[in-house]
Amino acid sequence: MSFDSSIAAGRSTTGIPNGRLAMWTLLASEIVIFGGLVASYLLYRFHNAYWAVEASHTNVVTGATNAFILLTSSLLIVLAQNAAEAGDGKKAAKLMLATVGGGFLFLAVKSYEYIHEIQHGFTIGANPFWSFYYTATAIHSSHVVAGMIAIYIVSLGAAKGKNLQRVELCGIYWHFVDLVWILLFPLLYIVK
Amino acid sequence: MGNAEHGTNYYVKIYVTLLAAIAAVIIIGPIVGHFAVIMAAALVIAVYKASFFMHLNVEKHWIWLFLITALICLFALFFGSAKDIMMDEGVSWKRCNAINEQNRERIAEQTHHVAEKRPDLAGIALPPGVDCVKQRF
Repeated sequence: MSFDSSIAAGRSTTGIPNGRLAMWTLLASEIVIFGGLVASYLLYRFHNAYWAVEASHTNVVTGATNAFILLTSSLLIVLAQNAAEAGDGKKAAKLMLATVGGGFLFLAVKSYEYIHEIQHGFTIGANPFWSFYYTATAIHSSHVVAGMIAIYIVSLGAAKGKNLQRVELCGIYWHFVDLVWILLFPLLYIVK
Repeated sequence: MGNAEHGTNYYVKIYVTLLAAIAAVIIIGPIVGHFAVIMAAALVIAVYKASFFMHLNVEKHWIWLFLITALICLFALFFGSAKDIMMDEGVSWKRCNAINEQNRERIAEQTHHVAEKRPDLAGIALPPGVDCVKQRF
């Protein structure tokens, strides 16, 4: 399987490049996945007052740190897009690798948080709040991992000045991953 | 997508604005404490980010159709299942654990009320009432 060429890359029958159109279609389906999670949370949260007490056990500092890390990595990827549009593939690749670094940091903080919570007895089976917490954050983290892999693969091409239009697609996806955290963070950490 | 006309400073300014907004939610959120207000603020931050970092503000309008369609599906899911989750009893089902818990709370409250009004009757428990029993409909 080659990542160097794609038949549809140069086509634009809708006025929007096909790659970008595909990315927005993917994100529309992601809205239903994450939106469904948030909707279920809200329904159960309103019905179970004790969820507010459980939410008070989540660590706001680590949640905020992760929000900061993802937002910073979002800035890096948008600057990579800028560099790619200016034709500077090498700079774009460096910024993309920095974004991947941000993803690693996010996962490291999340792992620390999971370990801390599990040690205090807040496991996935503790009660429905923690089941939801682990499901939502793990699905989000899996998206972070998927984004990191995609960004790394595209950065290899970008470093050689190839397929620079793909940098933007990675950027749109990564911004969405950050956007989901912007919504999950207050939901799980701030609202008590 | 029209990125190149914006310099680094443009994006750094948006980044700082987003950072300040998130910091405000973290600091002011617990003080306000109102669920809807905090989530509305988070939603505004998300829309702002989508507009300027994801360039939705300059994207072709019909991309919005994709996103709005997804949101309609989401609302259908939310309102379609809300009744089943929020209520304790439906046409062919009942949530006995929740109903029994509410019964117990009501009886405890009544017992407390009686004990306040008639101290001479304190200690006499009211009949527990009929427990909800799971049935096969």
